[in-house]
Amino acid sequence: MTTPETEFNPRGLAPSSPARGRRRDAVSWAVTLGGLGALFVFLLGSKPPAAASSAPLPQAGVQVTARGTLSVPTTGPFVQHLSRITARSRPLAAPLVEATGTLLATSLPLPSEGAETPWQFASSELLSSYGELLQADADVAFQERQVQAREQLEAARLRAQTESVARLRGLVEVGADSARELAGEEASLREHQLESERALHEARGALQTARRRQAVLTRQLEQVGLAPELLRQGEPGRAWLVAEVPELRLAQVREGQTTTVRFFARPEPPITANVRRILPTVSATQRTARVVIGLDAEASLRPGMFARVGLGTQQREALLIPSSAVLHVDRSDYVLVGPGAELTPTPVVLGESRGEETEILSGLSPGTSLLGDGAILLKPALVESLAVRGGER
Amino acid sequence: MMQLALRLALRFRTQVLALAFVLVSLGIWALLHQRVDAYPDISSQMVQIVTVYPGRAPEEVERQVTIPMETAMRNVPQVETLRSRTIFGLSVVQLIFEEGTESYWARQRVQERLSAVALPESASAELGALATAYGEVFRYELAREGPQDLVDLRTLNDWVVIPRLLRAPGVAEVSNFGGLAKEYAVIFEPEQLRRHDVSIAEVVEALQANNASAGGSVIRRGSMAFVVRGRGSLQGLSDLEGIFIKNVGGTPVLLKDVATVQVDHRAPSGIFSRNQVDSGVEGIVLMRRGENTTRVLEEVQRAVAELNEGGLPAGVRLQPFYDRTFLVRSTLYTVTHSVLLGVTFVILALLFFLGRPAMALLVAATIPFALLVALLLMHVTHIPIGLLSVGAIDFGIVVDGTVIMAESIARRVAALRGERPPEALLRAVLDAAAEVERPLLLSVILIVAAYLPLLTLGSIEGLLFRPMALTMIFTLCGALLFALFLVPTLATFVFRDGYAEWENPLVERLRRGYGRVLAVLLRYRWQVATATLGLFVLCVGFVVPRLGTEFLPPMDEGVIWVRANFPEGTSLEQSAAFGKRLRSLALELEDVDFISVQAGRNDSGTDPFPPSRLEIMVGPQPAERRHQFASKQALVAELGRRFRTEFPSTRFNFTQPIIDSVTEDTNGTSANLAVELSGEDPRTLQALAERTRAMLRSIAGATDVSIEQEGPQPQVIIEPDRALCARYNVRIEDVTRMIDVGLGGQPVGALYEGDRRFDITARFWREHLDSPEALGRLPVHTREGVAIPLAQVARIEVVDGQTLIARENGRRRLTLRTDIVGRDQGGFVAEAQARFATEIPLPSGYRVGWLGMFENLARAKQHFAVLFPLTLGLILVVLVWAFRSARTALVLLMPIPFAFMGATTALYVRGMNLNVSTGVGFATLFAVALLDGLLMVSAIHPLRMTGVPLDEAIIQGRLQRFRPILMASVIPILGLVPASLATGLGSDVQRPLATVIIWGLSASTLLTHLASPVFYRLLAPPLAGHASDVLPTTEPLAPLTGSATP
Repeated sequence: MTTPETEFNPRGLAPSSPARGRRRDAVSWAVTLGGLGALFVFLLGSKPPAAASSAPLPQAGVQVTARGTLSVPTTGPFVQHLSRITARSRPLAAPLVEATGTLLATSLPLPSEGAETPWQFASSELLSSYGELLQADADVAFQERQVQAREQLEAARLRAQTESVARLRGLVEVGADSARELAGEEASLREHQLESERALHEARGALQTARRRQAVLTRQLEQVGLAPELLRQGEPGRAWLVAEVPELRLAQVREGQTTTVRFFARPEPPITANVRRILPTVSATQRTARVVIGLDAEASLRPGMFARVGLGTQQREALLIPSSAVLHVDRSDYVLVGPGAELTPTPVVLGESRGEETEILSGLSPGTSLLGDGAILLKPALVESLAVRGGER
Repeated sequence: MMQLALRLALRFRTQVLALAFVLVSLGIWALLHQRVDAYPDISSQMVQIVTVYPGRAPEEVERQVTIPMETAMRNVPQVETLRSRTIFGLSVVQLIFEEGTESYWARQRVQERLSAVALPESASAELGALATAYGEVFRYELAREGPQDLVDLRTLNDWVVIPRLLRAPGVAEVSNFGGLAKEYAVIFEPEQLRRHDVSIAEVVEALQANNASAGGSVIRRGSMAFVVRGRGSLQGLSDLEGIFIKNVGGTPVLLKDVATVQVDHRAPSGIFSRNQVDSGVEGIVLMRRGENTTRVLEEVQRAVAELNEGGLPAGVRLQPFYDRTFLVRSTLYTVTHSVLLGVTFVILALLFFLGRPAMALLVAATIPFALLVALLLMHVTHIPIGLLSVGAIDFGIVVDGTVIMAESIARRVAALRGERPPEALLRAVLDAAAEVERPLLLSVILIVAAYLPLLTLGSIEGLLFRPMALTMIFTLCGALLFALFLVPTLATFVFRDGYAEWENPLVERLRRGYGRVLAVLLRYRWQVATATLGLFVLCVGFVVPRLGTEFLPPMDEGVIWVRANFPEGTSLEQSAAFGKRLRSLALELEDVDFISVQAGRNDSGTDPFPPSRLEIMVGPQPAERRHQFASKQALVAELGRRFRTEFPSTRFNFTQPIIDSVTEDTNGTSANLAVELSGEDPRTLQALAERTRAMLRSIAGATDVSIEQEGPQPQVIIEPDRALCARYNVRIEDVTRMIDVGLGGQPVGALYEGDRRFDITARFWREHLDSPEALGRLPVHTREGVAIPLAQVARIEVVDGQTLIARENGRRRLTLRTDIVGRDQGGFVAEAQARFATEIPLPSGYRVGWLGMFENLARAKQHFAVLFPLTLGLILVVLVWAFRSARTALVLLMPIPFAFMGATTALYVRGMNLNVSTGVGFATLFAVALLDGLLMVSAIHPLRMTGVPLDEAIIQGRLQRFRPILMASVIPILGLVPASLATGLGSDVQRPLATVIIWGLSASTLLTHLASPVFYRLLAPPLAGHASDVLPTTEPLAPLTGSATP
């Protein structure tokens, strides 16, 4: 009878003796344990296979050094986005203050030599006020003359009367005239003195009144923006523009400053002029101070015209850099200074922005090399460097 | 009872076939009406509230809008998480509801609360569309060749294209990105206002008062009626220019006297560019949640064709560049290709083993039948056809039961030889069926039990893999029906002329050789057992610990999605310029088909991003046209290298659009790992975040570590000085109105061109707004109407303020994100958590959370760690009950560790990680591996019961079951070989699953053949109790009643 062992063991794998069976057992155990041991050693020393995909990390870009400066690469594609510039100052004629203004008066052509300069004003009220001022000026002049004449007259009278008294006294001393006559003359002298004082007082009073009126009218004109003394000067071919300068900016305005005026009706070319007077009052309603600017009168200019005025346009040296070079962090502005790979964050104080540029008021010197375009890409590093520097302090 | 059913089926064969036909018809109907999706929608149930509050800084928006909104929404029921993001002028509050909450119910609850929220006057809130991030199914560019400019394109998009696309069924929203929104602008020069002594308030009032129509009842004349209509609304520029403002000394001051009126555009919030076009207009189509992707896309494409054929002006075309149809079709192609190839291999294998085409086709017929039954049940349970349902079916497993049934029937019929009366045939078929029905039924029960851990999954993993488990169960049910009832029925027709069994000579040779080997193994059984156990210990000790873990395998969506965060404060135009450079870099690679860049945000306000952020979509060339890079990952790596080298200070994240958006909506971040710090004080949070960032950067594998929320950015703060305002008689309202209108460009009215509505805005020329000094010169009007420079009544300074404020559940949060490259997620997270615990102490009141895909992994791990042992225990109980013997059950469970060894070794060698996909594979693998043991025991036990000695019974039983066990293993393996080697779209989920099953089953088959008999011999399980319940009887059954005519 065949058994599965004999059926499937045609070569007679059954051991022929117990000894051979034990040897086979030993060999099979050795093979089994040896195989397991070898596998164990192999697995102990092997590493897991690498992952299928692994994004290679790029080379390091911007680094913040221990000193708080920024170290940027000098080669590579990133550098293309960073431009270096040198801070240079250049003459700038941009106004310090911008305001609006109205042309209040222009001079009319003189009819004849020596005639008083007539003015065309922007409104009838101004004209009336100016007319009254002229009248007041005339009154003052007249009263002054009156006072002068009265003084002279009273002085002459007093002198005459005093001499008369002195003559009578002499006569009385020599007995040529009576004391009664002398007393009468002395009384007359006294009377003349009193009348003289009264007359002079009246004349002077009239003068003061005239002067007060003149002063009031002057102030009134100043309050609407006219400078009466300038009008009185009567410069021929002159136009007077008053600019409304917000009181906040008044400190930046000086007499004699160069200004640029652009009329709405005639924006080009702009007119260059000067500040002639800063009037003493600030409008309670407008909250502006008035600045008088004298222009050359042109046929195209009409009183009442509205203009844009730029005050303080005399050339000055200004340090302008591209606005893209400035980074703002927290409450301060910074630029990144340095010619090479190391950049130092430098705080600056900014002035006006003019187009794509910004004026630097302090913190940067001309000739300094700094980062221009692309600075925004370094902002995270800047924040980190400020933290490092803050930690050092 | 099953035998009664079998008997009835054979008795009423016509009826059985008719029922089968009905099932098949219903299955075909379901196939034609079934939703098709590449991937299921795994986004959580979310309702979004978008509030636009123009011109307000994030801090103000948070205080006045976000916090009141969160407070009002706090007690909305079934809300899991309340999250918000606030940026300049925009608040987005998200309510994440519990799984299973119905969409419209959730929206209704939110809407109820929304109406009670007190918001500032100029803030407007609305619910986001009923769509999720998954719903971004279509993107197009409005391309031009004609004279149209960006304003024209934007107007076309707003008024022609989008309305047409919204009419497509299933479309929830279409967002515009880029372009310039047309508006009628009233632009002031400050000097002009002063010149005419006019204030902004007067202009605005005049604009609003002079733009109104009226309706006045009806007048009658005789039998006619006339509707009275007052037409006072503005019709165009000339009407605007002629608006009367006031009268000065008898002279009217008109709008054109104080301002320039022109057609202008709103300052853009986003810039779109694609390939070489620097600025364009994009449309993003959002599908409504729950809709059929394929149908919606068909309707959208129909609308696109309609527009291109005549709905747009000459020179303007709608050019789609992202269409989910491609993904669906590619995925379906991959799946169909793999399935068909697998089915082909299955048929070839059947032919190889059985040698009879009729038999092979009979078995192969299981596949369409089971699939159609599954589709029918999927339709009823709303499971779409896709990668993670039909794509996960191993048809080799499906035919296992039929193979066994058919093989059993064939053997019995072959034994009839010359005796072939119909009754004898029926008897033989019935006996054959009865012999294997219990093992078949048991195996299906065991497979279902093995899928229990998957059926109980929740959250994202549940949404992904429950459909897979259910589909597999449905398919197996269909296969079981086929195997138990249809195969015997069909066999009575197919084998009515008899069946000559044929065995492949190669198989016969193998069988003989196996017999000899088995004898030797039985002789050296202790050595074999030791070697097997030793292998298992080595595997568990060395291989398993070295396996990485991740939540999901990376699922290829076809396109690449890149997020680039430039430094805070970068302007929109500068970001777009950087984007141009990135486009150039990408287009230098031949394998790149297109690249689109979105700088800033869209106009619907649903993307709360600052201008410094770019979202980039890179479309690789189709696979057949790629020759530069071997894989998409290699292309991504090269793009990453180029981008990061070009802009090393910029944060780049490479991901994919669907998974990125969905996980961001669900978890609040799309990163592999996010560390969320929450607390009250933003400075403390910032300090903690910076320390955490430094720590994460030092851990191997960390890439693109960054604080997710953008840091502070410069703000120009205009703060009215109340004392000065009082002094100058200026109201705060006048200052704020000047800022809102003159600076912010807030609309002050509307003008209609036909059916198109455009805003009217009143603002200053932009050159007056380009610096704090220029702002200071802008006029604010006193109560008396006098213009005062703004700087005279307000402080204007530049300070840093928040770019984005993120909150969760009522607290501010800062999130650090990192991607993990080159190592497994689980290991990385464990190291990061350990180091955080030791290096970064948290102040009181501050919390840390670990989020991201890792969170899902941890949850899934925990789930499997509990359920797998439970399931194994359940299987053990079932086996013990079935066989009345613990030792028998133990022998039956042997294939499981064998399969485990093979699967884990394969993952190790292929460099794959353990993930939920492999978890599914293990579940399937264990269930299938059990079948080998069942077949073995079901052959050996009867022989022992007839008195055959143990060794002989083992050898004879194994030889008897050699071919069926081999078939039951080889066929499923072959069925999945195409999937394990596939590289097309959609193959990423199949590959790990297929690897596990193929290699696990191979190892299990080999070791079951070699080692299981040895263990059976060693354990020698008893033949106890009611073994006949499970084991086949040797007595014929009672005769069939009724006609047995085939």
